[in-house]
Amino acid sequence: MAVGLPLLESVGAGPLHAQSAAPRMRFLSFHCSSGVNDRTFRPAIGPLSAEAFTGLGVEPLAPYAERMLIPRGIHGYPVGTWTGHSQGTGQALTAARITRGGGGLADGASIDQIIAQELTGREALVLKPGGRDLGVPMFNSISYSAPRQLFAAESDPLRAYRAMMGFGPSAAPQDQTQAMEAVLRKRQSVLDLVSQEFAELQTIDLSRADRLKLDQHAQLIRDIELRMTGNVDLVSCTLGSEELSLMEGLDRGRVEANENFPAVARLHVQITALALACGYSRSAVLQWGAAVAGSPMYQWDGMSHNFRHHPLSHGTTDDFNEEAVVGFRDMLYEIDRWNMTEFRKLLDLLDGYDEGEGRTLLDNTVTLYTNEFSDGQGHTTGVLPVIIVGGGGYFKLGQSILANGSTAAVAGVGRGQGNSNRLLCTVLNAVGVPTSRFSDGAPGELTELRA
Amino acid sequence: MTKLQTPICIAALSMCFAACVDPGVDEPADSEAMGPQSVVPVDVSGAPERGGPGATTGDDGREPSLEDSPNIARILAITDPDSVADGVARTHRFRRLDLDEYERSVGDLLGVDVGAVSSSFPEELPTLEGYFARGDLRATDRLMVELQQAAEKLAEQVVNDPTSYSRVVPCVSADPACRDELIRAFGLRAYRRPLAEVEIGRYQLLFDQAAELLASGDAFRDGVRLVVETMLQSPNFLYRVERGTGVIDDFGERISDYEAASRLSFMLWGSTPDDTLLAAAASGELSTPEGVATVARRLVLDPAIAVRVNDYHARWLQLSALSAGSKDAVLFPEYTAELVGSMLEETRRFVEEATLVGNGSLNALLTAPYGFADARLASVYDLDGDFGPELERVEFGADDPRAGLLTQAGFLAGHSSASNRTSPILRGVFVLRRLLCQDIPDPPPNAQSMEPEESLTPPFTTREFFEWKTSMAECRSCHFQINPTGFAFEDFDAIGRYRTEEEGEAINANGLLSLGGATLEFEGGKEFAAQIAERPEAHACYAQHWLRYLWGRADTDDDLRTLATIRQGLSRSDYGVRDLLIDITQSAAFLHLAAPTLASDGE
Repeated sequence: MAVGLPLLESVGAGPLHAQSAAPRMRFLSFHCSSGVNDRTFRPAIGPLSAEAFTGLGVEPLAPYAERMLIPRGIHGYPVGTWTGHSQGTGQALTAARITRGGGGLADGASIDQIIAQELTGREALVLKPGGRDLGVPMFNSISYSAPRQLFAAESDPLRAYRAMMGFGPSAAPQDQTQAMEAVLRKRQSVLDLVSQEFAELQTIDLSRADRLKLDQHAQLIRDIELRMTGNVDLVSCTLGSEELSLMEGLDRGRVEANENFPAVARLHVQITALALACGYSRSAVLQWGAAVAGSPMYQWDGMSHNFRHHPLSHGTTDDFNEEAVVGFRDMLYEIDRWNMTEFRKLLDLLDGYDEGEGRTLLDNTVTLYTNEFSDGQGHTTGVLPVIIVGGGGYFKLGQSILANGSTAAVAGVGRGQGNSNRLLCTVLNAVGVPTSRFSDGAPGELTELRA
Repeated sequence: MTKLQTPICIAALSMCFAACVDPGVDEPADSEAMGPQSVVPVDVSGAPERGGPGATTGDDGREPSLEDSPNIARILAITDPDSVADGVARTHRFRRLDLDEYERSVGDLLGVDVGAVSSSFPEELPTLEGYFARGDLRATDRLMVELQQAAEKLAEQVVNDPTSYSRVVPCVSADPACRDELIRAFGLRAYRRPLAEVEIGRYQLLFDQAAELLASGDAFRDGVRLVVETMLQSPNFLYRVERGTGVIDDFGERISDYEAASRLSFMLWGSTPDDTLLAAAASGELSTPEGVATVARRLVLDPAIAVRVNDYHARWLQLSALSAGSKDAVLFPEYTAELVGSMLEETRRFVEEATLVGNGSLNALLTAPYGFADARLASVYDLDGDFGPELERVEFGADDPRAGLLTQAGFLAGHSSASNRTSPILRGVFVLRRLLCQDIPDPPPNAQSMEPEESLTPPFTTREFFEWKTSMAECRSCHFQINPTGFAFEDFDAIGRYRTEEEGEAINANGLLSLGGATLEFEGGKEFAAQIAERPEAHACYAQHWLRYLWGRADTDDDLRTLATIRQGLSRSDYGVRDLLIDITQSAAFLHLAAPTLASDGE
């Protein structure tokens, strides 16, 4: 029995204290759907300063102008340009081919899960506010734990938070530490027995598929045992009572409802920052709404759209391209600015965690903004809007630069010229997951993006 | 209702099973050596390649995928099922309970309400055309934490609830004898087989530690609580483990009688075997197909069968799309969450009435001349008479436009545009793919933006719009089938109201559809549904879908005999869903595992 001192000795060595001298890199994906109003979204190629953002969709990000890189000429791999939702969503973090069929899944693992596995042996945190497309599951998550293995995004902040805390939303106050130690000792006994049963099952003659499944479960049990040693200190990594009551007050049946989008999205922003800061995860995805039928209808903060983001991106009232909407580009501009305002709040939160040596969590995170499309109306995955913030000194910051061999004009991009796999390869290396080639496209990084 | 850029996408997903290998992380990376603080560009040319598809060469023991499924024509070609050799498709030996199965099993084991602890479980995605591919269900980090917390709370509930306690603890003396009896009796129910001596020994030790670990002052109760908490986290509970018997016969490796009991109860009840079923396993009743049939007859007559029958039809009909949908609030002010609830409930009641009360199957589902309505639905259906808040059965006459599932609001509203119009595309693709198992490919990526040169001038009906939209030559190869199939239901609007005109024009729900060498000619949804009900393609397709659902895997050539048997049965009016379920248990696959050992794959 592994109950006793080794466990209790480690109590107090919580996540915030566990930082070693070398900064631990994190990965954060912020992914939007339905494209942007590309006429007014991003600044021109060249040096970035706050002024360069004035009047644009990205204006809310102006304070971070010098800490970000806006690469131009990133084209979705492998299909090239002028493609559909499956590519824009399934390829965002996989750069993989989409398997046959309308609901086909991406045939590759996504970098968030690869990074999480490599750095922590665990899963990435994947959150998504808002509704979902009920017909096509792949529109509801950009994360893949393995080829064709879609990883469900969590929509309910309370559930995400509970899972993160391990002890439920009302984490025990510090004066109950002793009671929590008792819980940990008991859990240790339970998991010890369960582990023995796993070991026994692992001796059965098994297919490879079954063995992987079993090994994975057994490993997760060990992970839980390991993590338990840090949990007691998680009370210093909790959300405030205001957020807690907001989360608990949500009608659980309406978490995905459109009217709750802003509140849920903001809670997800808080949880994401907390998870990265407190070591719950080193890789997180915040998918800012589902694609297509799950896309939000912006009816808050001064916006009163009568159509969801997806048909609006087409300039129409309905997904079936029926009637034109007058002034849809202005609406898309409003959407872009609102999204960027909330994204900025996430950056603010990350920048609020001092991680020593003059660096903040923002500096120690590769934050990657992606979008399903560039211009929504054309549904093109050519010249995708991409923003990289932070990145531990790996990237050329304060600039918007054109990827080598690329062109900023959609018309100039032919099929098969996608390079997003090389962008993802660069991100993997920046986070500390050495990779020479990502997916089955051209090998190597986009070295021109590197400092 | 789901709104789609390419409306066809909602239909059956051509899913592949996930590769059970993770090619992305085959070599451990030394992240420390490649410190993130290093600003100097690092040569990564020697670093591993990642991403992309999984290894597809070699046999890794995966379950069959839909690409292995026989074409419907192969089933139809079989005139005498008994002449076809029966086979055993491979299934995994470890299949995790899905979360509904977990909930029901725990409820049956403990007699407590599990909803309170399971509401926070992470969502699981059904990846086999809307059904669970059971071999693909895995443990996740998140789920493990949830299951741990659930087990803790449930075990605490057991010792605080006298009814549950007496269900779990078979004796009253707080002594070692009762401890052992608890471990054996509850263990048998939780593990769905008798525990081995070494397992009993482990639990005895754990039980005896409980007084110190839980320290409630009642050592015996602490022991009960800890045993329950642990068993609910055991792989032997969370997975259906099929070790087999090592006995090989002509079909493959025989499974044990207890494993057969679990197959029966999870297939037919979606839950753990009850005591009677475990006793049947103990007495050897499940060692022959005849014995299995006898026991299966008891199971399908039990009210518990309704759970699976309803769940299957809800998934088959893609009713989840209805639950969270919306419609144009100006055109359809009556379309509320309550109305959607009534629609779903009507479908549920109808399915039960047609299949379990009436002992029918596909034909009854598509043609039975009755429905269920409350005041809300009565208004949609334009029914005379007094209707209250409860659904009641409504008889339809020969002149009524409705009969069967495809003329009910649940299907019609669920397969419509999310705003104001119907969607002949969604309706047509549903019927072709999920009712007739026709191979309808997905539209090209640019289908949305393709339009004929000549524009369409309003006003136009929905039918006219889609006829125009799909009039180009490149659309016709599929839409010559999709359109008439969907147009047949144009006599019902986007929330399922009967209509005779749209935009001032008379509704045209006439059509011709070529199917399997026959031409169907019809006017309106009811007439079309009645013709489909007679089609052998529909019978074979219904058999295929049920088999996928029950086994949680794709069907293969090994299942042809069973599929053909069921297909023939469905052409008879006296063949009910219960008969179909029993036929599934009579296949060679039911009492066998494929191949002596799957582990020898690749060796």
